[in-house]
Amino acid sequence: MKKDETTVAKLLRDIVQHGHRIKSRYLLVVVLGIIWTVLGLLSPVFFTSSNLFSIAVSVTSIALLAIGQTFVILTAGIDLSVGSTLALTQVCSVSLMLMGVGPVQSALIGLGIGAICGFLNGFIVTKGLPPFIVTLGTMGIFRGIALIITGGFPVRLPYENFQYLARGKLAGVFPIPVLIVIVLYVLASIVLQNTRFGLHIYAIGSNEQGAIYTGVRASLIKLGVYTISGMTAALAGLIQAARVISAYPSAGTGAELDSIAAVVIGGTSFFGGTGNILLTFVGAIAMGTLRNGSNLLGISSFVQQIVIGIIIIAVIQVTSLRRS
Amino acid sequence: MEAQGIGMNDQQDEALLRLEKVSKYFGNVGALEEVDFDLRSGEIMGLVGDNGAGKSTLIKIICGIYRPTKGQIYLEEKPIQIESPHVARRLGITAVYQDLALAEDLTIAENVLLTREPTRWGFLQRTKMREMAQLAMRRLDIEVDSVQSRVRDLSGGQRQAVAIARALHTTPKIAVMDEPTAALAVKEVGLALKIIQSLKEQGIAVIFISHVLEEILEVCDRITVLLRGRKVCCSNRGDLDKQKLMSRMMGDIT
Repeated sequence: MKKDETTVAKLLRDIVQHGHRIKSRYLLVVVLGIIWTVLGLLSPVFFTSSNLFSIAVSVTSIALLAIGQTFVILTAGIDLSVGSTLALTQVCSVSLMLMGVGPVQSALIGLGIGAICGFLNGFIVTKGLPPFIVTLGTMGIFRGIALIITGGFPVRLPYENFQYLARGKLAGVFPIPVLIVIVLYVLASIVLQNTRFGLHIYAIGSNEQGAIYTGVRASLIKLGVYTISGMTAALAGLIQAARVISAYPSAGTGAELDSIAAVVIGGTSFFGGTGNILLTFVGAIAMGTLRNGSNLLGISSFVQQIVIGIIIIAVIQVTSLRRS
Repeated sequence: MEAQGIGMNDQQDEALLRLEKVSKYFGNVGALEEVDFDLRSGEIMGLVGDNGAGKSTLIKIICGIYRPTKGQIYLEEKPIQIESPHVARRLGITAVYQDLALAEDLTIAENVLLTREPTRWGFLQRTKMREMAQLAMRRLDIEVDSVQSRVRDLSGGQRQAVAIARALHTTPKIAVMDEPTAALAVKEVGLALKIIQSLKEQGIAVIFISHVLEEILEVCDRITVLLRGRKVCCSNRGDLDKQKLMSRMMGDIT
């Protein structure tokens, strides 16, 4: 504990001494630092590794959904169907396992179904329909299919080993789902910052018509981002099913809004064109921290919702001010 | 009609780009009616007409933004379909649009090289991008603090420069300039016109649209006049003065 406090003190000193130089987009990191410091001081268990890992594990789903959501929102789109895609893919995969298909094959087919869901969203969006409406529609469609497949009931995962995806630990310490999340964020960041695909995503979000006039193939890019969103939702669904050893057709209800919240709290402009996916991760962690911290401090989950709501509005206010 | 006489001679020269009886309808509304248009290598073709004459529609067809309802387009006398702006760029047709079509959140370098980014193993070569953008800006004699600046933070003239640099850095065959001087301060207009003339010296064909007839008469070799979606005439600059040009734009051909 002692050691943790000195780290915190050092962080605080850095913030005080160099605060004026910290760019506004790193404000979130600073705010998170402050929240962690306060929680660390108020609750002795906050900075224990088991608690930190539990925060990380608890945000796995949101963090994964938020990867695809960041890609989509950067193009000035939105994907409301990720929660339903999450449910549909886990229901399909587990049902396949129950039909005797191997766990790895079932998981891969699940990822494929997620990709198809996302591709379908992208396909309709490229026909000129507003993403909000398109994905609102598919949100209902995918959820409905998931409910039909299981008759509305949860289905139990037949392979105990599949739990490893959610509960396994690398070298006995590092949770596998957290590792997956970190690797994917690093990959996503490389794609967004260092490839033409990434640059064209930002260009479309910044000025779609202009990008098209310049020769950017916006339809292809949009197909790509929605497909990615479907796939990260599918992965989130698989990990979640592995954790609870069941697939629920009602899984991920409301998760689309959490993922959007993580993206927005991470500073990605809701209007597209600007944002850093690594800060989406920080946004997801911030949400997880607030929930975890509130639980540790005995603050009700009702109040948590209010706090997160206020933060979302405040962040949007700051980013729109910066734009104007 | 002197214009037609000139037109017949023109067609004996090989046209770089030729539009034959191109029409464009939006629903029942005709924006262009059987327009013939030709452009030769290394010439500056002025395109004038009142608002709604069809200038924008014509260049949007040439740039692949609109598909013509009827008619045929030839590039170097080969019939072509310009299906998208992407195809247009591949064919060597670039444009500076009136609204510039810049991505404000991206840097100057990213805007200048958008869709032409240098890559290695699939990854952007950022350093090379900066160097190429710097070179493109310097070639146009344009000073900016850094090609890493975001377009959002630039002045109107600098944005115009970025749009021009983007259109020209690959040395296109045809450069379409839609009102490139509209947003510029007086001294910047001179620079823009100089840039257009330097394109001609490099053998690039330019389609130049402007509401300022003095600019058109100063730099263009030939001038095409549109009126309510139809071509009124295409004349050599020497055969026109501001008065004649005005009257043709108004529909008085005598």
